[in-house]
Amino acid sequence: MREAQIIRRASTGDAEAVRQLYERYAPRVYAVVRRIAGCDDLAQDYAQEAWIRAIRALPTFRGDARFSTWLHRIAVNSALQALRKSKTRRTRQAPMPDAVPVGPRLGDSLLQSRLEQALDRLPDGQREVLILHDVEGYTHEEIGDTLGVTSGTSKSQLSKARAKMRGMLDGLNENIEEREAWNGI
Amino acid sequence: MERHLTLEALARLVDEAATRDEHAHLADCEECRGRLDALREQTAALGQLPDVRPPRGDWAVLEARMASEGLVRPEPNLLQRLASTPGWMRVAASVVLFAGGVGVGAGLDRMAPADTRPALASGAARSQGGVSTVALETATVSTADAAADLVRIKEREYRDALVQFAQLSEGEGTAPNPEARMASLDYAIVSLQAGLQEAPADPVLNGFLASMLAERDNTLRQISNTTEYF
Repeated sequence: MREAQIIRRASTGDAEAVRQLYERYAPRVYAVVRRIAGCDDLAQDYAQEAWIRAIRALPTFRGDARFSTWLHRIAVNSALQALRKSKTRRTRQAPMPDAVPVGPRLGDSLLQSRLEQALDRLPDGQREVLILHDVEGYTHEEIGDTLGVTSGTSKSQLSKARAKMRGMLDGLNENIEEREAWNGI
Repeated sequence: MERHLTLEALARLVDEAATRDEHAHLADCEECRGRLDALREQTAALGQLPDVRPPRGDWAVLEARMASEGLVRPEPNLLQRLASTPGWMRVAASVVLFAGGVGVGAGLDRMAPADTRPALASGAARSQGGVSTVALETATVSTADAAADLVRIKEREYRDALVQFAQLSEGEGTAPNPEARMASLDYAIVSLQAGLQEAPADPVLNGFLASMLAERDNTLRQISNTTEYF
């Protein structure tokens, strides 16, 4: 069935059509929401909220943009709003124990794991800009609109985030090398 | 040599042009060039992070929430779908199922060793190695009236099986039993597949089979949800 048909049926409350949309886009939605949330506990709630909002708004989807883009924007905005409301961020340590990466887009899974860990440890503001720009491909103007900041602020935050992440990755690399030396690897 | 460029300044140079001073420094400083290269690699790697499958059970929670908020209509169960099917199509489907069932039953009977034939012919469901298998009853009739009687009997049995399946699906009056549900679904799937051998393009049978297979997947997921994580 074509996507337009599935969307039309889903917008009328057809559970099977909604499930098809979910199966198609859940990994994409969960990935961006998980990275913005910075931890698994919040990520699942944020993802659910994003889907609820999207399904509620489905009757207003006119097809001007691609559905994936429309859904992605809802997921990002929903997660950012939820993060603003969340005052009790927990210390983030574990790198996505329950989540499963989909598809080998990165050859080096160790590098991928380090990147995810470092992302989780960035301050919220820097992490949001870094995710939106370097992971999701937003422009600084789009980030400004989404986060309610100027594009200059977005650029400044991005440089800080990249530098901080580089420092953390170097630290992580050193830790791993130390551990390997201790283990005689 | 002048002081090294800060990491923040190098981070800006990942996708912005360097000033003349920065350019001159980079031309002379291997360390800063190396750090800039590392930042570029980091940025490229971030752009290739993979999508992430949600945790197990996410859809079930979401589906329940959407249903509670009235965002989706619950999917009709098999009996509701059957009830919305025109009567003549239901009769036709039953006849085709019966014909297919007899064919499969006869095939199973021929394949089975002689000493097991009575057991197969009894139509009982058996379990081997945790997998439920169903043998369809075979029958031989010699007159049109006897065949018509047999069709009516088989149709009634088929409907009884559907009712039993629906009760198990809905959990009416009994605790949910996924294994029993699986056995019922397997029985219905075998029947439908047998019927489709006779009428492979039949939309009603294909619809029922797709529903059954989806229900079977759901039940299988329910069973595996209670036992282990992937």
